[in-house]
Amino acid sequence: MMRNAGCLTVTPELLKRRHFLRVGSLSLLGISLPQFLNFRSLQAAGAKDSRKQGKAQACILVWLEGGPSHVDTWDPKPNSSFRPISTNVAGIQVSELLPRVAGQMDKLALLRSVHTEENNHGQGTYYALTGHRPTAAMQFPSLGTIVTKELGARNNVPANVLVPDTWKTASYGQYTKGAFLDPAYDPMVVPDPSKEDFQISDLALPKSLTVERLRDRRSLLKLVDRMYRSKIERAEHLAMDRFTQQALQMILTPETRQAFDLSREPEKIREAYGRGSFGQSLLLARRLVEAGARFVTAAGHELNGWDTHSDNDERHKDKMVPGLDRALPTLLEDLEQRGLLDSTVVIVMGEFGRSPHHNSKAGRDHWPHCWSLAIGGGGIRGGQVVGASDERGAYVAERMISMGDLYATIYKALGIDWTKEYMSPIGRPVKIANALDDETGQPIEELI
Amino acid sequence: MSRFQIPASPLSSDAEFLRRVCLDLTGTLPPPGRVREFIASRDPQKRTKLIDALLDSPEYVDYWTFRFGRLFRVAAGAVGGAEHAYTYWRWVWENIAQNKSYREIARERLAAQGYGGASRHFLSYGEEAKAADIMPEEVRVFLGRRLDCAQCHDHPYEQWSQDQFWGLASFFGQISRTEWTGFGAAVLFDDPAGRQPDFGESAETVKVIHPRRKQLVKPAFLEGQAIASEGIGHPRREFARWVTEHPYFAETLVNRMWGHLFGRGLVDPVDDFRSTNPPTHPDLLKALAEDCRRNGYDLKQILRRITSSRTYQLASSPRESNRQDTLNYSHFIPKPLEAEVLLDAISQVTGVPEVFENGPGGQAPPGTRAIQLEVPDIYPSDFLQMYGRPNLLQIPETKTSPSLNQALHMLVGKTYTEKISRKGGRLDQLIQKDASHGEVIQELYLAALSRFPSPLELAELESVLGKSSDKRRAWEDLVWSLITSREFAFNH
Repeated sequence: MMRNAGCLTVTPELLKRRHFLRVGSLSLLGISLPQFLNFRSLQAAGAKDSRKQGKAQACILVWLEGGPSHVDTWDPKPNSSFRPISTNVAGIQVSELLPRVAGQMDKLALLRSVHTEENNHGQGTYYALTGHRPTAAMQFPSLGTIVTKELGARNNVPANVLVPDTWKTASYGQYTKGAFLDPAYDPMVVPDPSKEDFQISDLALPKSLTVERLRDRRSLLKLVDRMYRSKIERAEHLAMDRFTQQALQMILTPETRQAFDLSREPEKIREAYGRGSFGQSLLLARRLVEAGARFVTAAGHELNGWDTHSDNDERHKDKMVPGLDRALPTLLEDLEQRGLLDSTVVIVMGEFGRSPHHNSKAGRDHWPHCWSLAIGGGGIRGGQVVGASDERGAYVAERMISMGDLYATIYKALGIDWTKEYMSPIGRPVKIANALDDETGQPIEELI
Repeated sequence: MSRFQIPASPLSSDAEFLRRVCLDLTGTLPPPGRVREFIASRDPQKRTKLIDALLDSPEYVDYWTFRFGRLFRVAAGAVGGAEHAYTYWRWVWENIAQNKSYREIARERLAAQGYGGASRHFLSYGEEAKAADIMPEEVRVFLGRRLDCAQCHDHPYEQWSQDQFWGLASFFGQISRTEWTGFGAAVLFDDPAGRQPDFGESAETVKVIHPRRKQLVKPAFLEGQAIASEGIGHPRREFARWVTEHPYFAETLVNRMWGHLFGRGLVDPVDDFRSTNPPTHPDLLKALAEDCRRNGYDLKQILRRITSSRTYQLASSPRESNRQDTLNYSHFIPKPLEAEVLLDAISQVTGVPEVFENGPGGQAPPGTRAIQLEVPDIYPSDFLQMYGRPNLLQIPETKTSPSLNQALHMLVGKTYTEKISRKGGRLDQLIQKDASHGEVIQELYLAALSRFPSPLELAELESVLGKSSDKRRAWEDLVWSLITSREFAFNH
């Protein structure tokens, strides 16, 4: 059993190993180990409350695959070809490519001094989704799986969903998984909801299969597996039984399937989000969150969609930003109208920003050193800017923000103790909010 | 075991042993004919002969190419392109087909120059990988140690220091490549002057610089000694010599093989040897390593040695008194089939091969099995994904564990529904033969579980199937229950 003691989750193993020296050195202060633990848990009891005040229930990650140019979107600069425009919040400007988002600025906060450390798509995505740099030695659980683990599933709806399944070709889907956590928290990956034939194949009985026949099959299975199961007991077998029960419930509960059924949305709403993969993924995210999902990654852009190494300006202006400027404000309004905005954190980001200068092909290249993202909902105070880049959007000028800080902010909104650490199978403690230099991320105070 | 007074389970039955060893050595279920023949044979040497036959089979080559392909990360994403990955795969395949000494394989891999398959793993996203990324990977693969932590700081609870890390990494600091002469054809070589920066790189980032001391690091072995002067022009050859002569080398190899066969290494995880993670059976590990050295690092010989042992051949059903034991090999511990092996097994039982698609219109040659995919990551597969196909950019060793997606797929997904009802498979053959319920039950048990049904099972199933008015439908249901059973999904 792990005991939560505030800043670190104390396991006997941990005490034996890494923190032994640290704890051991306390005796110099005349504090015994039991006293120390007691002290920690008292400290935790006080701290715990303030760390668990957040009321949000779910999270939508609007993923901008490939990395958008921050100077052409959230952080307008003179070195952008686009003009800044005012928003519905006095003093905040965004790129002219985002007129509709500008009208919803009060719902979003802009973080303009995000700094990450990986310069390639694979690694950058890994870093953005887990808060850790990739290493060959171990895998780290993704933000989505951590949120799912901490909040738990609701209403027979998959708790963690990744839509659409474009990522399966790019191995990026792996990064959304829970690594050493229980696979129950891994996202369910669903196909592109904008397609005519969109359906979740594994959620409904195929035509050839009736409920009765499934029942027949299951009783036959009991017979076939009886001899083996009577001889061999394994935790994995019991886990599979548990998942099978849950799966049956989902298949036989119409609500579960309905949560995925976009045809139940009025045509007007479907249009408002935009009929493409990106818009419909956001709409599906809203439906799922409404039905009880905890974390939905809406990654409806084509692979490297925002990766504008050539013709950055045209591609932003004509191809990428219009879809975002349509779907995102619609999502925010839709959530608000349904009374879900206060309980749903919305994060809008890619794996990095883009270079402040144009390259020889009029493109912008990868830029992790300083970039921007938008976050709102779930009790996060919108209508403000945190941090600042230098005059060209190249480097952090004010208040560096790390993935760990972002994660801590999200956790705080969701009522999750952001100082938690998980123990990996090799006995390495893993911070759930991992900031630069292995520090624990801190919630951004202005936001929550 | 005797020290802890844990009694061993009895020897496995022939059927149990046959299924286990076929899956472990070839990743393939025995066909019904082989099961019948093996169970009927009265040859006292039949187990030994079976092991030899399996080690000489083409399936052995496929399966161990797949296994080493995974260990060596043969994937388009890992080396920067499908063409590199294919060359790399081909090199692994040839080594396994020739049963080349593992020592030789390691030397080739570590010291490779040119554009052959052995050199491709030094590419990452098509560029030369960084020395600080290559070195810990080679040490993990061949010496079973994880040095990664020491890149940034002295290892927290091992003796590895940051200086040692960078000294070792420096052996890979001269890797350079020629300009592209067409995709897949970059030539790798060691440049005595050190790697030169490419366009857009600074000299700083391509050199092996100690992060704290900010000095260029010279190659030094783990124990601290530098390379002898005659080896300076070929640092990786020196590294290869050091690795393959190190006592850790054989221990790591036999432990990996043991881990594969028993689902748990004597040191586990198999690439995490350290003083705080000692082997469960140190003498056994030493003896196996010694045997491996004596036999010239012969992969087949290691597998033969272990699969011939009584320990490997014990029954998987525990006795009352050894039920709790998971560390002492008192009974065989069942392990889940790997994703690829499970999918192949389902295709085999249903008689309906899987089609691996690769973008619009593209697909692997008909009949290609999952373990035969040369560059696996260019074939997306929901099933493999769901059952734990590893991401070879990350750590390749993963264990299949149950999930909700699997359960949904098992109940209504296409692998478990379409394959069963598709025309032309095993069921159609049985229908054409006008087989009886009893014959079908027996044939399907042999195909899926590699055993005959017990008299009780046979009687009960006959009575259930007999009640159905639709024969094909009833048999489809039986196939479903066989391939979704735990007995099928595990190697036991």
